[in-house]
Amino acid sequence: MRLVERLPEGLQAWLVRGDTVGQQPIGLRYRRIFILPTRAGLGYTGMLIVMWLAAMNYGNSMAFALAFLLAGLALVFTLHCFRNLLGLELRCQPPEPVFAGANAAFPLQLNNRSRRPRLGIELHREGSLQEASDIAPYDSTVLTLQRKTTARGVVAAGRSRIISRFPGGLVFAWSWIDVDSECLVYPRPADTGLPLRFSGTSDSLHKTAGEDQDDFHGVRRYQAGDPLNRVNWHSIARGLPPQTKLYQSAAQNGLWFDWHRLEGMDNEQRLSQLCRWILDAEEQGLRYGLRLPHTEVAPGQGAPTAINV
Amino acid sequence: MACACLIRKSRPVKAPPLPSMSENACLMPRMTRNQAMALPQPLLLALLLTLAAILLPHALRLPAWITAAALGLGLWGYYLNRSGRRLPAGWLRGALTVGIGTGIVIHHGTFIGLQAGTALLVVMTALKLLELRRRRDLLVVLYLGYFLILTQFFHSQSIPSALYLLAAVWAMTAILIAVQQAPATATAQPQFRLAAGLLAQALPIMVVLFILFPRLPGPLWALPDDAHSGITGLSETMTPGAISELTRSDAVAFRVEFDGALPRRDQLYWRGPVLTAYDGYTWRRDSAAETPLPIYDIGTDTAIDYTIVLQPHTHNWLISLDRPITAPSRSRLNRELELVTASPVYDSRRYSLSSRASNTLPAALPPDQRQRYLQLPPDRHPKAQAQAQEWVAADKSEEEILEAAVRFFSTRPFTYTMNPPRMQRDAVDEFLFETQRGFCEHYASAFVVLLRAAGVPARVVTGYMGGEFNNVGDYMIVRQSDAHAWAEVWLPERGWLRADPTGLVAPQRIELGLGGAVADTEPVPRMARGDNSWGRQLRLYWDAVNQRWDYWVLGYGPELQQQVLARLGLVDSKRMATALIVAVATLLCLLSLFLLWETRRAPPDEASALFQRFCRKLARQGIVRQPHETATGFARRVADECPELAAKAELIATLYTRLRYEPTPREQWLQRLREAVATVPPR
Repeated sequence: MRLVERLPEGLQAWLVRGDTVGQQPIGLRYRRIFILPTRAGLGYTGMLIVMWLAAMNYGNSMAFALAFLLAGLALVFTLHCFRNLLGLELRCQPPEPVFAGANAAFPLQLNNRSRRPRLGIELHREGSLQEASDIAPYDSTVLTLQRKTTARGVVAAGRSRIISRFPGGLVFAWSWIDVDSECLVYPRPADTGLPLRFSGTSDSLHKTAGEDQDDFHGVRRYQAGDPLNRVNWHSIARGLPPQTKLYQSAAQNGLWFDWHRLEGMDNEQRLSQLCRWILDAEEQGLRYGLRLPHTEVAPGQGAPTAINV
Repeated sequence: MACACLIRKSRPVKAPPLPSMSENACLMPRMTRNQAMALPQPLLLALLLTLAAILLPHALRLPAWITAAALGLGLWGYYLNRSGRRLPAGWLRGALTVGIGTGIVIHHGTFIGLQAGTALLVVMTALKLLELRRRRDLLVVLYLGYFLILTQFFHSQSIPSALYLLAAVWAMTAILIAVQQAPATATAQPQFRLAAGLLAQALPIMVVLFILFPRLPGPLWALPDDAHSGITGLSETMTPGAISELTRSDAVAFRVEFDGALPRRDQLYWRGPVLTAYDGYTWRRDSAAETPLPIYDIGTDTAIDYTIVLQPHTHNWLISLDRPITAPSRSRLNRELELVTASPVYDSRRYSLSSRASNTLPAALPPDQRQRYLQLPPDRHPKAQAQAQEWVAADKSEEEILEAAVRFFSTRPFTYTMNPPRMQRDAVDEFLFETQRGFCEHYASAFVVLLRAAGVPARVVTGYMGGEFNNVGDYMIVRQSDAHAWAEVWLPERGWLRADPTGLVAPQRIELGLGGAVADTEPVPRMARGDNSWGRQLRLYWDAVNQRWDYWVLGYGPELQQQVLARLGLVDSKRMATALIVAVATLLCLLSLFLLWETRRAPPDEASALFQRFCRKLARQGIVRQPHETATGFARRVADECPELAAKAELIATLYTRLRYEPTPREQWLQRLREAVATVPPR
């Protein structure tokens, strides 16, 4: 249980070695599934012992039979609990990047290859339940591992557990998994948005989403990622495939977000501010460029914003 | 694509993780602290009905107010749970507990004891229903319910009772499974089918444990006195009318299996408690008779071996055939040839022993004992005393006095009846000289009084006489209607001899049993009559079933276990322990094989396997399918990179997609897929 997490790192790694869940599916095998009684199970065992003592004291055969039946039931529960996890296929899906401060989500796909449903499959991390699900026969489900992020960078999913208490909740079976997945964490956007004045600008300010003063340039086939406010909805209404309207922006130069112009801030704050400006600019549909100490990105719309300094 | 993330920024970021749910989280927590947990109604209803069903057999024994209190508390708990109102405060529950507990103690006189304990258990369960805040409380209720089922077995282990309680165990298990499911995936219905399957799988384990798990001879702690009430049977005292009262019941007292030939009917005297103390009305068992007697065996006739399964009768003696020459384990013979056990017989007890009718020890009688067996209240029964003095005055020896007493009964007009007139003043005198109508206890009592008054040591023996042979099962049934009382007389040079005055008056009682000895108008219970109706036959069949149940299952105690194990070759405890572990392990292995067989290699559908094979073949050629590629997408890429396989790849992809996703795939597609994949190089 949480006991393992208190052991030294080396010992932990040895205990839970092997089961790395990556892009390829892995199945939970015999050696990797452990079973222990729960607290309810310990209470049940105590009840059984008292029953057995009472039966022995009165020499009552049916009382023995009941105690033995319930003991057999506990053993059967254990087998079923084990079976619930055995053979479960796990695979991780690529996580979406998040901003610092939000929770990084690592989706795990659980695939049930057997003809029996797997009930009450729980995903735990650091002793607390993240998500739980039932999986129908030949079905799969996605459970998400969440991890808090504080700073930008890359966050690994780390170690988590798949637990099942079904049926009866008297024993619980678990398997440690090392999810081999990393999530990109963008810097937290700063609080202050785009100021009224910025470098290399035209007088086109605060373009709201629906209003553009650019010239209509033409249409092209819709590509994933094109802003939805540029989609030609009329064509869709007519039954044509989706198209994006193209505009030639009046402001040829666009905005420049300059690292070097941010004075009095440390690296992280500058990154935060730049991030915020980029988000705002993107939301407003402006053209902008980014100037960083080592790279420079030319103005464009929808420029890649992977900040990997 | 990165910009896509930005655009989707408008969608809210994933909510913060669920609040940490420890194992004790509520099934579905409610907001206020003192509220009952929100149990789904089907589960709650099932729980209450099951508890009521478990309570029902107990309610027949418990005082009515306890049953009413339990039902009331249960309904109140149900209402609180459904309505979501606040649970009663701690002090109220505490007050209820103390109040009801006190009531139980007052009623039963003690806390300890089966009756009081059961009542307490019932009330605790009902009170816990008022306290259902978390899942842990619900578990406590379920465990208490299992306990209540157990306590019912201390009162009845019959087959119908066992089946009824098995159904209750099934229901409780179904509720347990439903309650214990993870909150996110909880169901509202008790899981009956699953519980039935699991219990069926647990049954073989139960059988193995039942047979092999060592049965240590109990009891571990002193059993309380109160346990059973309402069980009929012989008692430690005998008053006029007591035995005839007992014979109105045809409940089974015990069943006997004989090894070998059946004894003659006149040998079937079943020895129970011996009564020596007399106060003019009541005969009592003498506590000073507890001195044990070493077993002796000097009889001359053939020994009879038999096994008795004795129904519970709450006293601490065992019935034996007159006269026992062995004492079963956990019992010993005392000076009055009673088989006394350490603990009262609360449950069916099975034991084997041997007897010889002529096993009489001609030892001398020490003076203090002689005094006890001559004890009579001085101011009672003047006429009987006078009659006895006549015999003494005639200078008769003891044998002659005995003969005179025998003649007294055989020559006078005595009648054997279950309904003698009530005697007002002096039971013995009125019976001997006025009414001359009585049942076996009157005859035995009067006989012993006469002999004692004449200076011949004598005592009353109660027990059973006769029995009915059940052809169906090859055993003999002895019922309460066969209850009997007779006398034993001590003669010098000969020891204690049996003398049955009933045999002098109504010899048919010996030969035919109660039904044949009294008039038809007497209240002989149904099964004691000699008729041969089909109803009787059915009851005999059912009795045979019960006999097997009693003999093999209920009577499975340390002695029978030793016999069974010896037959299996497991003579010492080490071998038995090994056998137990091996048997349970084997069962678990078999069960595991059965359950886990299919997860050994989950059979993938053949279409997937074929497609995988296709992908592997192409991987060897350098075209590796990416995880995100669909079948058709992959096929298109193959067509681009390897044009000669274009047509085949497209065919395979189409077939595979159809087989996977169409609701009714056709077998010929599978066949074509097989062929197509087989022809893809490298073969």
